[in-house]
Amino acid sequence: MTRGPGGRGEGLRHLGLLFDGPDDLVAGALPVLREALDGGDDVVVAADRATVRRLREGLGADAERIAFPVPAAVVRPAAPEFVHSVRDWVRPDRRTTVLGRYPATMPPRECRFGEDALNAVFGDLPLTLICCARRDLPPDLLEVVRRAHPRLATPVGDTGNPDYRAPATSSPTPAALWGEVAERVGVGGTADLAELRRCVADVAARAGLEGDAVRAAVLAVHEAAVLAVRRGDPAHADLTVEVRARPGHTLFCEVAGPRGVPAPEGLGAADTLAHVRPFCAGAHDDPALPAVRVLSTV
Amino acid sequence: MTSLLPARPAFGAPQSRHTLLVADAVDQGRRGASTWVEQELSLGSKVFYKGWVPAGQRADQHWITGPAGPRGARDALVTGQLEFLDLPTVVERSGATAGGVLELYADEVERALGDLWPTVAMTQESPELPMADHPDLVAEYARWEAGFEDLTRRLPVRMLCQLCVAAENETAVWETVAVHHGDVVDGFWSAARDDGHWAPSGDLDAHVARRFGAAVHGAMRAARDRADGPDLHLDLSGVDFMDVACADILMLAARSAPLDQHLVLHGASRFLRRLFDAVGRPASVYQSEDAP
Repeated sequence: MTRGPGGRGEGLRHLGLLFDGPDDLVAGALPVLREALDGGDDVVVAADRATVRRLREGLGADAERIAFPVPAAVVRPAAPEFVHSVRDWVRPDRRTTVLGRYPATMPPRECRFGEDALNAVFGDLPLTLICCARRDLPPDLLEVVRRAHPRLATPVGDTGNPDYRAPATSSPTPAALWGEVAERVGVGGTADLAELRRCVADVAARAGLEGDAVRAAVLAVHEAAVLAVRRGDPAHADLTVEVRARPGHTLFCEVAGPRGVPAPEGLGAADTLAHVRPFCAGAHDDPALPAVRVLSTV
Repeated sequence: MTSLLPARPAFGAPQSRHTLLVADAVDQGRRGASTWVEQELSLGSKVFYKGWVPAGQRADQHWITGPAGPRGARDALVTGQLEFLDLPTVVERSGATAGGVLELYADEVERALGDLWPTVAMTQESPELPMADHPDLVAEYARWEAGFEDLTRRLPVRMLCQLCVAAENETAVWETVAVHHGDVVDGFWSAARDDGHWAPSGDLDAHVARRFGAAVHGAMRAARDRADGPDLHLDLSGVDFMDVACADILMLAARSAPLDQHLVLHGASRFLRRLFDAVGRPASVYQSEDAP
């Protein structure tokens, strides 16, 4: 199972596509869209009329299987509700491929947050996202496209992106990206979980979550910590939990550890966080680090 | 950290009670027992304490009379308000049989009441019974705990059974909590039985999931023997937090129950109901009509 945001597999495939004009965009998108259609994906393309016309010409009858909503119908990465809306694209029995285009007016910092959120906490979703950006976008926004996409869609197919930088969620970290570290809690074992829950509830309330939303966020982080504790010695887990908040937007927690424990093998297609997902906007298990991340939205 | 025992008013303390105090470690258990003994001494109860004395030490060198013990314990030992018996002597006198244990306790209660003490408080440290190696001991233990229950029902006796998880094997922990499901105090959670409802409260999480599972098992088992059974009516209005492990335990207990036994949920919050649905609520779990 591919858990990262890179190649095609069970997990997220997050592609950038840099273009100069509609022909260029279509040439880069066609190989990925054909692959998606051949694989039985739901395909959604939110693009201008000229691009849609060229795609219809390029794909022929297969284009009938593509949904073409107006571009405004797709939430932009910079929008506060972006991370929440991504989940709506997910189908239980098949992949979904979505092509969207960067508007020039997006604030780069917010955009980078949305894109990094995808990479960090939606790595398990069966999605292919093609984020298209004109090469004449403002330089700082273009920089986001180059840095936030692990792979690129090109006329010769899906290729690695040498400029990609994985989101740094642990210290040292671009704190503004995930919000300031509100709490950093050490968890030695299950006996420390009550203190962790108290911290998360406190930060969640300060971030603007209320009622059952706080309870859900607390439960999701608690379960992420239980998963991490059980991977090591339950009495000496040595976990570090960072709780970050962007008031009014998100609550983000990363459970790092246990250290020095080999990554679990043989998980196959098992979703280790299936029980957590109903209670948060996104959760991502990264056994290689190891770390478990949970994102809740206000 | 919350108190190991819920604070109780000096006046209006229940005349009788049979409580299990669970502690993860020895020092944690001692803090809880010390608080309880101190309270009983201040209430004017006759206190019987049964504990382990380290090899080579006398009864009056037990921790209960030292700096970690309750205030006034040493004086109470001198005046006779507090009586100490070491557990090897208890085993010797009772033969470690249910009949022997109950006779020993009943004699002490009778003697205290005969001396005109208004109430009797009895507590014993974790007994370290080898239940895993001697399955017949499980049944014997259940019989004497049932006898304790009867004693506290008939007479003004408050009994505190101490369980130190670090000192007992898994079988002993499981059976002890199951038998005491009606009145358990275990760190951040506790459970009580009242008016036909079994009411766990506090924080139920992975740390205590196994003990909570034992209590659920005990409550289900007891409900089958009750006149108003076999359904278990569960009052969840006092639950502050429940995680997936504990929710799973409840749902699994319902699934594995006999066909005619159901779990009836009272006072479950909307979020708890959502949690039960997420882990898979079987048809044998009903929601009562008094849901908030």
